[in-house]
Amino acid sequence: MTLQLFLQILVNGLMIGAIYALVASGFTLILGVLQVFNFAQGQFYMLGAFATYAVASVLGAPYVVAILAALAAMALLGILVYFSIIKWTLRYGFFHTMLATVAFGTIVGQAAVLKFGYSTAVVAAVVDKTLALGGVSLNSGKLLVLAGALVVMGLLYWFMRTKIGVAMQACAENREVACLQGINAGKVFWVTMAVGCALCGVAGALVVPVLSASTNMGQLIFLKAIIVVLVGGTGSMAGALLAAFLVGIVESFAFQYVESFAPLVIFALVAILIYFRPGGLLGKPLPIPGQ
Amino acid sequence: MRLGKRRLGTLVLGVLFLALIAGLVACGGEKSTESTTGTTQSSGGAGATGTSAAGGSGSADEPVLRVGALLSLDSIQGVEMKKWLQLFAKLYNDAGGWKIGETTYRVEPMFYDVGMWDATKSRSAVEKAVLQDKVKYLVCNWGDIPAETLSVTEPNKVLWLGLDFVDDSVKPTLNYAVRAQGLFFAQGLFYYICQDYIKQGAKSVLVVCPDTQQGHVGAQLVGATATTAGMQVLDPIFFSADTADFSPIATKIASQKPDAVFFSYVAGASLINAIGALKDTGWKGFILPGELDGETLNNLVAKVGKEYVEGMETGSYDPRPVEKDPQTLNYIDAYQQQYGDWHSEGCFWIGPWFIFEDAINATQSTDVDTLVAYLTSSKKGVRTLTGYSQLFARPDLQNYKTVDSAPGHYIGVVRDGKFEYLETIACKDQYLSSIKVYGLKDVYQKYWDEYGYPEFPDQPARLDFSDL
Amino acid sequence: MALLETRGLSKSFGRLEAVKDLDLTVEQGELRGLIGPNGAGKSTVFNLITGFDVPTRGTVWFRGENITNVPAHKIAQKGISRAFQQSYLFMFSTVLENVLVGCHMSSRAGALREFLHTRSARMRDREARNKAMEILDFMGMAHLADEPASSLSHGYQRCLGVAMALACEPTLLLLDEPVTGMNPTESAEMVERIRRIREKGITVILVEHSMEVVMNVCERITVLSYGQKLAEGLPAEIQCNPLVVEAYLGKEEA
Repeated sequence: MTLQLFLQILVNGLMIGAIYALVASGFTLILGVLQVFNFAQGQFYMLGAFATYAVASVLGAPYVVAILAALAAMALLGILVYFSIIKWTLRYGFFHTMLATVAFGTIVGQAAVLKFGYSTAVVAAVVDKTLALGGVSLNSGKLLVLAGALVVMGLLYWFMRTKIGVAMQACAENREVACLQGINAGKVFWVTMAVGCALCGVAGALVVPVLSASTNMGQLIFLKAIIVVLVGGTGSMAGALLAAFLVGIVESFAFQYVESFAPLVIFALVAILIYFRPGGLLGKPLPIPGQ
Repeated sequence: MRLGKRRLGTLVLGVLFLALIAGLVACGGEKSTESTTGTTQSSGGAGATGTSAAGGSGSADEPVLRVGALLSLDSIQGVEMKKWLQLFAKLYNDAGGWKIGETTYRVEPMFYDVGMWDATKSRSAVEKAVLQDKVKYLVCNWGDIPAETLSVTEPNKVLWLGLDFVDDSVKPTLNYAVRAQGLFFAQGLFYYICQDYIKQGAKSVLVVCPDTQQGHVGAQLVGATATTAGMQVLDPIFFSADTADFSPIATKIASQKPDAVFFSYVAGASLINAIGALKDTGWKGFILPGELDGETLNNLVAKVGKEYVEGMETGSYDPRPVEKDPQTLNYIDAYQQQYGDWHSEGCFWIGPWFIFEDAINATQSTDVDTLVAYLTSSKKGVRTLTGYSQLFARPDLQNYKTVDSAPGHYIGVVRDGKFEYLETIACKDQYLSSIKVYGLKDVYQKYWDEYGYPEFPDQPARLDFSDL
Repeated sequence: MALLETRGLSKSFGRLEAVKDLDLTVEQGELRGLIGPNGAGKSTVFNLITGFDVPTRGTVWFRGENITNVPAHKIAQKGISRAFQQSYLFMFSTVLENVLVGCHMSSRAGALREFLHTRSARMRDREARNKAMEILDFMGMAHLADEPASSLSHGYQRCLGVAMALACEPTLLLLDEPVTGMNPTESAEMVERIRRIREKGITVILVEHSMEVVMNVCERITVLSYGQKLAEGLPAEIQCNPLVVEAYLGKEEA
């Protein structure tokens, strides 16, 4: 394998890994803090992509504005979903919230198909250049996705250290003790939904110039996000980030050798990992549903 | 979390759901015509069960011709085919019915969702259609498993006019199956594009397909076509059907350094992302995208730019820029009036309907055996939405009845980001190029010697029997 | 004005009346003992005061403000902290992190401002850390700061619970059996710390099973039996009260 090919495959893996990381960290955040298995997570990613398309391609705004719009829109939608659906099902337990998100996700998915059909929404590449780095040519679009994702993850890291971030982590670990420490779980919950969904929105926004938007993209990424969360450890942000890049890179290299069996390789590795480390790489075992 | 606000919460929830429904209605607003047909159809469906329950007595004054279709309603092709069938039925019913022989029938399309290549669902759908609803004709299908379907239609003497990607439906042992939409005699498109690309300097080709049954069949056919045309064919690449990011695939393609890349059964977002990823690797060469509808082409150009796809030859299923035939133009108009917009995804696959319609009109009969007799000794091409389609025998399978079709198809080239129509692939070219690709000349020659050469519709053709 | 006052406080679980018409008044700076046989309703009283349970009847007043239906986290913010009978800890976090949560929450910074002003936020981070270490030092467990909470001994887990309660900067501290499961040395140290907490000006209500500890440390004692106030007074008075003796002896025998 030439160096160029190796780097190309590595960058492919890192880029898709970055997208997995954003979606999965949003998912694991909501799972950890609210103990809600958000089946609609992928749809926020899809909606984020279409929001970016609407703002950038239809309205003709700059791409950066479109990213911020997608972020804000998904954060608001997340809050709306929390207050309209999650909050009222949360007290009945894990399975009720899960079913509620399944329902919401399905409605959103079907509505998207009604509105956009099976068509594809394309946003022109922001920077369309192939960078030559020491004889290795790399596509700038992918590097931009990677850079954008890293910036967002940096902000997220910083956010988790603020008062509300600490409160989120405390709630994730033990809701009652957190309450005892003066933490308002209700507020933490809606903020978590906003952050978790905004992360998906940003992922969708970043990915649009490279992968374009289609109505089924949410379902495809959601399965990957679950795998990433399983590998990284439920509720563990660091685990999700680590696992996302691992899965992305393994997937990318696996394809080079086994083509369409690449997903099989991923699943096999996940199965082996779960056997030896049921809690994933950096996590604790799955929360007991309906506690 | 306090329970005191429960009532308020319920209220908020209720209002939100209403808003959501209102939003959905607004979303579907542009397609309100579609939803009306939806209602008509569902009430028609309810009526259908009512009629069968009432038995023959009620149906005496208004006879109903029930045409079943096994469709995957999760796929765009399935949805589009359903829309076309509803339209055809509506056109007949609005004109007072379909006069066959002495009787005028109301046409009632019946749809059965079969999921996507799911044997269990195929079976239960066809059992419901045949055993419960007593449907006598299954015209057009998408997403079912014909081997499953036929095991129910054959013993019940139900006419099956469908599409099939393997040769399950053209075996000589079958009596009531006609592959009205097959891809066996459909190598014309790739054969000519291969020739064109070779003329422009392409030597090696890499075929890229999804890892599905269709994909593998497609890869085989495209590979054989390219070999016949004189290209060196590299090992095909298969990718998982739920791939979202095509970068790894593109990287692998580029690392094999082919002159040309042929995509088979890659469409819509997948195709755009695949070609986009290919461009990102810096690879440049000939691309055969398979079918391209106008919207996909526009999106593709928006994504990769005009230059990257300049000179790309492609097949098309969209009759609008091509057809001059008044009947076809009427159908296109009716579709646009009915649904308010245009999708070409169903145009090609709806072909079996026209073969069915032609058989009924020619025989003036609704009797299955009469129809089968007509269809399996077919002599001429039938006009479909995408040009002529013609049924031929399959002597290579010892099947001497005309049970397999050469479908109509268009070929075009992308110039300045736009699809430019080149020509319609003649039935004769589809037929002859396919025989040439499969290397079946001897078998067919023997058949022609015995049964006579087939006649073709009056279309300009590039190939003749002497070219084989 | 009393610091904490309950008026006619009652809580029933179905037919069982866990707390019945309890009038309890605790003055600023007091160290009050709350005792009673098992099932006398001591923990329920704590739950009602901290908002973990809603009373069936009656009101709770804190610094002259009615806090009866205020949610638990707001009560904590108002200055009532509680160290639990069971180990209520962030088991997967380190000792320091456990205490830091409370320190962070008692700082007054807004989330957005904190997010934008890196420098002041970093300073506040450092302050919170210093405060947490101070509290741990006070509880005699500074050397355990980086250990995971789950690895602590039972006694230290109790200490950590108290440290977490202190991190919230309480005015009123509710201690639920703080020395249970401790050896005599640890127990003596804890008693000493409770005294010092009170010297810092924090009002303490102590529920404790060990009579020795209660008699030793508290100035006033309230005795509960079957959810009702049985007696209230100085340790010496309580020790001689025949009702109390009977309630305890009767309970012990059963």
